Amino acid sequence: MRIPSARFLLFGSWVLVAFAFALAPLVLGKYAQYLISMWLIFAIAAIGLNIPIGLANIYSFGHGAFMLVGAYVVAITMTHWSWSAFPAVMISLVVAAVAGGVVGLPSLRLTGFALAIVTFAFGHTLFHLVKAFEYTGGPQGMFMPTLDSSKWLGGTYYYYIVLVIFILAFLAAYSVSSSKTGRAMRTLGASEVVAQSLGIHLLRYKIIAFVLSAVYGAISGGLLALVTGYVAPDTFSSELSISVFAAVMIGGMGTIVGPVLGSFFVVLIPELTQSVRGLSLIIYGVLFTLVSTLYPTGIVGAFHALNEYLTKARRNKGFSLSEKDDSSKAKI
Amino acid sequence: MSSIQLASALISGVVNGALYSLLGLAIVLIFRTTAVANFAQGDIGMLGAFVLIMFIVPLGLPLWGAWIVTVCLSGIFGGLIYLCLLKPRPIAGHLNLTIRTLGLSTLAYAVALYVWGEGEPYRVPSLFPRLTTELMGFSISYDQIGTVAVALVLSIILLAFFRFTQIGLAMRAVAINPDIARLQGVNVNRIVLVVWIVAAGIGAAVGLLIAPISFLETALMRPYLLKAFTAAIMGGLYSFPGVLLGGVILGITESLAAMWLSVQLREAFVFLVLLLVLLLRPAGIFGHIIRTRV
Repeated sequence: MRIPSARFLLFGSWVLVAFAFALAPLVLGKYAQYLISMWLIFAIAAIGLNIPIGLANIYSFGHGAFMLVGAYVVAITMTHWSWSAFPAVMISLVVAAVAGGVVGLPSLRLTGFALAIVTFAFGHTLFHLVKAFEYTGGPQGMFMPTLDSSKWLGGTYYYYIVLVIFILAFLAAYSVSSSKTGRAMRTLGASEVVAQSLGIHLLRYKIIAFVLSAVYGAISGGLLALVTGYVAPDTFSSELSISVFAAVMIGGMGTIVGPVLGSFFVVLIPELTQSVRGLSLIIYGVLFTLVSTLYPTGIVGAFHALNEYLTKARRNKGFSLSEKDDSSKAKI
Repeated sequence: MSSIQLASALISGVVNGALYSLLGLAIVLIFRTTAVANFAQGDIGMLGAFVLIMFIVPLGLPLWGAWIVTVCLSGIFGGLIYLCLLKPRPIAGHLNLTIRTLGLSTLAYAVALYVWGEGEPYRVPSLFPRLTTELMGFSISYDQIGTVAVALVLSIILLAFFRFTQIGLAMRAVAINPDIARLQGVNVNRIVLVVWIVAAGIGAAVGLLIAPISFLETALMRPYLLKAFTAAIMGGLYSFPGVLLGGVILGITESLAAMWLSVQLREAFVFLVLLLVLLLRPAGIFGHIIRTRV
């Protein structure tokens, strides 16, 4: 019998996972479906944030701002202008892309840390702005109009919408990271001087990174508004930016699976420990601190390290010849 | 608008500005020597204020003694942060170290919320009498005068410490280039430890100054931290006089914006000022662009 290649197995397992998610509503109750939707929505934002952080090594601490733009544009167009959901989400993507471009503009002049604070301040400012104006609902936020579509497919319509968009977003991020754009971003992330000398247009790729992450953020924010049915400024405070950042970091930045795994923790821990006040935040804080100190490369990095360790142990058991190989590898 | 309103806005701007400057000074101190942006700087101050009213004040010390004990304890805490959180795996890179402080800040906030969150907000006794005095026809509270005075004295002591003591000289050497400082015989690890102790002490002092003015709650330092970062960036991140000036400019701008525009739009205005400063001088008021080589 022919042994299927590792690539084929990997692809097959991804398809299986997707099928499992697609069939989940048949087994799971409303609450579990809601949790999965939340996880996937959060993961879309985290995958988007991974583009500037993980690939281009640009620190964006204001990702919540793009989610805010997505959610509020959807909410405003649907309640004040009574648009339907699809054009509302589309226009929110355009607005977010412009906002991402504007935030990306100073990226060439500022050093990493200053840029991080500028993006953080941008998110903080938008948060205060939507709170200040009546048009955006003030501190209470706005309720979305009730949608007929929320009852379609026995109430699972939005679960499937979220799932499909998540899969598309995941594939798109994969293709970006392995494309010319992704390689250019990695190069400039490793060294801007080297990237520039190779003919990579720094400003263009930095802005592309910000625009892409903004679009992902807006998709996530728009879905959040549609699924939860309301938008409130407190959802989009600077804590949101930090938790998306934490999701990317805990999962493993620079990988595609990492942000998805990290989001799982960041969404699930508060839900599981709801009964004890404040406990979820402590677990989250401990996890955040421990992972960042012990495993700078996140959960995915820890798995890689474990895998490498096991392979090494197995090989050492088999033949001692390969030891020389390993020691030379370790140096690199 | 009356000149009295303007004067009181200016005074509260200077008071807040002094607090931003002092907190920003601690951030710049750590950033210069270790290239880590300390996101836990604010929550160290918050913890300090809680330690003061929960553990130190009940001991029955005079308030200024309790103050000094708290600042010292916070310094020890800062040293422990460095030893436990930042010293292990130093090769991980500055960003990772920065994220560790972000994690610590989340953790400190979570623990404070869990332990003391039920009873908040708390009232914290002030070092200064709750009276106002007349100065050139305007009324100023002793709290405000005291806050600015403490901030000023601490800043001068710190600047003198960096300028005139041997350990301050070593700190500046580490700030310029840790590797070369190590070759010159500076014990870099010890210097960084001292830096963390000093910075955490400043953090506690700022927390103790802020807590009596506003009520003590777990989110006490959140707004101040962002402003302190902003002040540090406006000052150029590497300059001590720069961050002091940046903080005061920020404080005054903010209180003028609150008076002329609205309290809600204040934050947006602060961001605009930051962008304007960075547009005109990307490396900050006193900064200069550092060119790196491959």
